[in-house]
Amino acid sequence: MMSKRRPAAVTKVLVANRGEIALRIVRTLRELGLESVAVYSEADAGAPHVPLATQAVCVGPPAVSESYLNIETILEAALQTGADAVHPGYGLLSENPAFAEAVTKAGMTWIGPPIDAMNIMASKTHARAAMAKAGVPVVPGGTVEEAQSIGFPLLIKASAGGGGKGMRRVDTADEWTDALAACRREAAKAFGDDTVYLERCIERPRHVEIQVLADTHGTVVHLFERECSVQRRHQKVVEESPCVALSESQRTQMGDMAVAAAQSVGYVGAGTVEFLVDPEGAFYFLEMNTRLQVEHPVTEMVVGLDLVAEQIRIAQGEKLGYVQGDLRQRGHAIECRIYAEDPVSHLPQTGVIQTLIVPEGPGIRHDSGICTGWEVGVHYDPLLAKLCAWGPSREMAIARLRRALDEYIVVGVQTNLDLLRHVVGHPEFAAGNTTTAFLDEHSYERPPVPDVAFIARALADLVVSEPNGSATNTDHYGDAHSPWKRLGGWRL
Amino acid sequence: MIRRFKCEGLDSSVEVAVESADDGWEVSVDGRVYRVTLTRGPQGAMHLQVDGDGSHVVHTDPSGPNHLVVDGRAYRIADVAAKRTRRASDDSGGLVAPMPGTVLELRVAEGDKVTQGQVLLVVEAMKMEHAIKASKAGVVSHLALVVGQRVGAGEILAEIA
Repeated sequence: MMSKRRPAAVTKVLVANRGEIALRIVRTLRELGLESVAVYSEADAGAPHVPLATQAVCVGPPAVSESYLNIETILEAALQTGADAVHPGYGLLSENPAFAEAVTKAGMTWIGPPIDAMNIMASKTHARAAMAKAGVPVVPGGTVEEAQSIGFPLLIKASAGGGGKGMRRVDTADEWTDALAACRREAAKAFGDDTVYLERCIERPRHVEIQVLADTHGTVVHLFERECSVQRRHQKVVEESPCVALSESQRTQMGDMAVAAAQSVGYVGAGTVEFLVDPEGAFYFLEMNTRLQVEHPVTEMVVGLDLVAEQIRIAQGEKLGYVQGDLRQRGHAIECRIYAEDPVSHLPQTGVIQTLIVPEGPGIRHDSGICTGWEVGVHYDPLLAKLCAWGPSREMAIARLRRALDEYIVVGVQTNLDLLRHVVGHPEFAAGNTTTAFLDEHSYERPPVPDVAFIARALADLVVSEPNGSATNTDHYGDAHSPWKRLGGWRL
Repeated sequence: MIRRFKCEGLDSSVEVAVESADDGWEVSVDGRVYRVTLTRGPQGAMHLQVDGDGSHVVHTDPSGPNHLVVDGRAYRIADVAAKRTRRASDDSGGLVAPMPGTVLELRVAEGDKVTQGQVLLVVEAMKMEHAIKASKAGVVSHLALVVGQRVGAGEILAEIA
């Protein structure tokens, strides 16, 4: 049985994160009538999540290692402001057992899973072993000694890695020795641990994950699946729920497996069990993320729950209050991640957001950490915002998302909006033919630059908008005799 | 005025000429001529009506015109001439200084009749001489310079009516 200790009620939560997820968590805290403490680096003093929180504390210089990853400073901020709980968001310290332990030891509530469960899942090899023991199918694989029996192509993965980092594909036996050495070097450098393991390479899989919720009273449910197959370099780009490829029985099976996986490690809170689904429909455990996922909004829209609110209820010892049979998927939701990136090279971009026009209207949800005038700098993840659309059907969700993407305007920083329009507008996406190879097989080609772009560029130099809402032709060179003075053309 | 623009991702540049027209502009893009009118839209947008090409929504970067979004699609388009020399003549009759320099020689005066290609004045900059030629035949309607006067890049030197 679960512990009888009833954790104290949460009243004031420090949000140990930044950007859109910090804002998203603070919003729920406000809705719940709880106090919030934002933390921010010197570069984030003007960030949108700061003024929305009850209180805000600067935790250091821009570099994450000196601010958002500084456990000591963040703990001090929590204690100094009288916070009684910490929500870690995703990324940063969210899957760091040492942080969870420090929070707990300081007498605060950790809004996350038990440290033991975090520890097991933090090691991919331990996680695989635990899952295999619990009867959850894992991708065939093993240790480096078993390479020949696993066969090629295979993946070498860092045990301490995850999220696509520390991973290398080996197609033939010839590449094996070099690839293994390179992957070990990378793993040692990135994670301080050169332990690697092998997995058979599953070609053109779908990435399907199951959201689970577990309370401290032994109830574990799943909130169905999210499909996150459309990825670039193992980073998710478009996510949706439900997954069109799952039959009702597969859905039930995968959900049950995810629940079993969570139960086997004594999981509590919100977590995600990731699977690869091969073209034949067989599924294999990939990893478990012991935190809120970036793409959690699609689940919220389809299931009708606020996952952050559920996390807080669970953390203060409440019962879920519902069972699996109470949960339904309603309609369809799709999320796309808007990144500051060069549309051609896909490299992260920086700059000041000069104009930001965010779509509104039926079925649209927008979670962002940006605003007009916001400087997208070099220190943080290039994720600017998440745009979600809900519809009663997948077709309707796609139509809404396409419409919303067309309305979305960002001036000042290059974004992947064109790529997202390409994906969401693609006939193969509409047909539900999404695999992790989607962007390789249907790569985005920039269309020719239309003449109107050059017309607009030439005219942009000649006219300047006035802040009072009128518009004037202005002299480009400040010369009274400029012929531009005489240019007409405004219909006001 | 004729200008040369290069869009990021394209190898070649494009020549754009803008002339004012009755209720808008006549813009030629590599020789294709469009009649364009502008109206203002919400949130700083420009709405372009382009004859034969429908209506377009343009958002520009107030901090610099190189980044613009046309119909939701982002472009970076730089004025390639701006980095080198600005063309010294334009079809609308205004003649601009190609670079900062000094007026070395004046060969015509206001009111003079000129032929197309005739040298009107010479500007010296960085020890190089640049002849400013008439872009079209006509009468010099404006020329208020003296020899030795300093001019800035892009400054209007003369106009031909």
